[in-house]
Amino acid sequence: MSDAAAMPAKPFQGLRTWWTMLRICLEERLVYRGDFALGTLMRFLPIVTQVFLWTAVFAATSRSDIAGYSRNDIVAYYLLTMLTRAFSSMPGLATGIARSVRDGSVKKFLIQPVDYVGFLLAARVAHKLVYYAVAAIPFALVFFLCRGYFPPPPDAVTIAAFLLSLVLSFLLGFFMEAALGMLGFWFMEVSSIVFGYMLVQYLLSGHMFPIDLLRTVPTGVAGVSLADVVHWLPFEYTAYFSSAVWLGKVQGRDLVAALAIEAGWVVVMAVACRIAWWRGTRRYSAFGG
Amino acid sequence: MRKDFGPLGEDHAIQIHDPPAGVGHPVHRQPQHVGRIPALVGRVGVWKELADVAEGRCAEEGVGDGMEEHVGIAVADRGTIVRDGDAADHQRGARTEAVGVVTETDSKHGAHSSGDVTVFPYTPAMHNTDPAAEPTPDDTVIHVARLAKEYRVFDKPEGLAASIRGLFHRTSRVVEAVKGVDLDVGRGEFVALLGPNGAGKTTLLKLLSGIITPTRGTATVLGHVPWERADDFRRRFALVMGQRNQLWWDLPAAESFRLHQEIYRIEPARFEKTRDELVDMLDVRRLILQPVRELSLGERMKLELVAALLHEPEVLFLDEPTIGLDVVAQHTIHEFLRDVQRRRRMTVMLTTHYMKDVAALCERVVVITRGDVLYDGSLAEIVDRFTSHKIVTLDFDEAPDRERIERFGFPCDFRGPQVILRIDRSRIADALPVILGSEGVRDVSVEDVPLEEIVAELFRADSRQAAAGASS
Repeated sequence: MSDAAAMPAKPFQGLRTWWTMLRICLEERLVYRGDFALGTLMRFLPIVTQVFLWTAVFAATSRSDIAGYSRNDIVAYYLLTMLTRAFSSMPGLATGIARSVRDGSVKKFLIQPVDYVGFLLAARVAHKLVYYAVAAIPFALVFFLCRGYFPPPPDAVTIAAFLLSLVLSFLLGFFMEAALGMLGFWFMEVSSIVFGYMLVQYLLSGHMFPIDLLRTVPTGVAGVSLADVVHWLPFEYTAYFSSAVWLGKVQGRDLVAALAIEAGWVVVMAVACRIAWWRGTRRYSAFGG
Repeated sequence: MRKDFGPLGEDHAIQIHDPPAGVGHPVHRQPQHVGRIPALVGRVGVWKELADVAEGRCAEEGVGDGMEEHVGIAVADRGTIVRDGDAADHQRGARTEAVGVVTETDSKHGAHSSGDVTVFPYTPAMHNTDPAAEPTPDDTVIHVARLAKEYRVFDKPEGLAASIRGLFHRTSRVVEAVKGVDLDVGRGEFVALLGPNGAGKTTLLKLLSGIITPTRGTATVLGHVPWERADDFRRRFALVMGQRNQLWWDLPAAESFRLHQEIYRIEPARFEKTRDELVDMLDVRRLILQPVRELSLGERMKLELVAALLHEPEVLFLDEPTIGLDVVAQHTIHEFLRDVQRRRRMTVMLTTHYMKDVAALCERVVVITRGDVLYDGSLAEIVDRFTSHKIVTLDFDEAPDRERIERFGFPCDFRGPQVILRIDRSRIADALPVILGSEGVRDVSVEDVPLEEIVAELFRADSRQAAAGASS
């Protein structure tokens, strides 16, 4: 019966399915569009405190720059970091996956011929697209008001690298958090793990301060600073990196190498996510269900 | 008892098609022989006798509108159906060329009526009733052998101190949710899984739909091992869990249907046809454009069923599909399921606590208690086998004299002018005339013990047995 009903797999079938998922997720997200508008503006509030803090820091010192950042650079940095975070942050992704395991709604993806990770990705892309559509105006407003803090815009190649780093930061953030959420197959409650991750993420991503500040922090190994270590970790690519690219802090060969590291982490996390899903569902099937 | 068949007439063409629903292993195989047996003559006996031939696998089922459909077996010899067969006929294999399944569609003509005849070439395997024999993949859709599932559960001790100790050392025990179940389900069967809470019904459905892997044993559904979760398998079955939704909560069901079209790769024209058909059968067309969260439980369940059936699954698992629904919604869903199941010759397995579901839908009942199959057979037989008495309700003009009724010697229950007696089935023929002869009887009804009661008794007997086993 269903032999006749099922179409043979056409080229781009996967893409079409994905597009339908994206479209439906978009519609679903639009139900909650009201949530975003206010939330977005609220997100800029912490920046105000950061700006005050750094103003005080600069007032207390006679130096005109700290780790290569002028007062204006710092404000621009935080604003750009906000933008990067809009790509890389995945609110509710890890806890959502863990919840679906706990309450059993993940079963649907064991029964239906559909890939859970692909589905989550579509849902997240939709989530982000709706968010950008709503947040574009407040973002534009804030950036316009703060235009005086920014250096003149960089050249086209740097802008292209910046945009690429944003896309990669989205994928990196997605796969990292999705892999984290898959731990829900092993632990009943992942919120404390997620909290720990958030803390490390906050410190090492550059969300709290530019990673350049860690250049003077020694690691004990001669000639290797903490910033060098962080450079090889995935975290800074979800906040610091894109901002640093726009501000011209990373250029030339370093830029290419850093993009390669970022892309490498995307692949590693995507694979980790797959393995966690595969092993997790096997465990789920064996123990619970 | 044997009957010879009278002439049936030339106008009754033999149609060769799949065996009717409810007729399965071991007598029937997919017809391999397609052609016309000339001058077929035949007559069908009453189904009960024929059911004996088919080792109790023949079923009688109502098709609505007072019509009844009888399914029987007839033996054809050199192109002529000579009589309704029995095991002895089959054993004379040399003389038997074909076995016909006669579907009698008009009950008014009784044993003389005729209908579509499905003819299968005879093979000795047809009367192979050895349950251990491997069934052919052709007609066995679900094959379960010694399937077992154990869970390790951790005891959560009471109290803070114990909880802290529990951080370092947890005590666990093994719970056998399903222990060594054997089951074969043929194409087009509608099977009810009954059992008290925690008996292992849902675990069995989860195993068969590939959500969980077994501890021991094997199972195949549509030739696939379910827990391998091959896409090819997942496109051919559906699972509906009464309290779990596959529909998107905030969106109209039509959107979820679209998504199903994509993930199950349903051809657009076919998708629309199937969707419209299902939606109209349940009369929910106006609901599919409304966000699902705004719908009632019953409406949601109907749309869940539509979503599950869009890809025309060959096997459908239903886990308590009517839970929490009102009588009207239950009835609609019964009619719908019966209709779709017939039309598509879908194999359906359902768990439920409502005997109405079972009575309305299922020919075959599998009772599971404590992870084991306690009973597997027809619904009619369960009544036969597990009840010793009938319920006789007498209506009097006014409340009768208790002593007079009690003197009959049957357990009785007085409810004003009504008296309910439980009378041994073997004695009913003798007892009834005497009772009816008593003064002031206005009306009488004789009924089987309600299914609920039988099943409840079955469960209770089993748990008593378990308790006895545990204490000895």
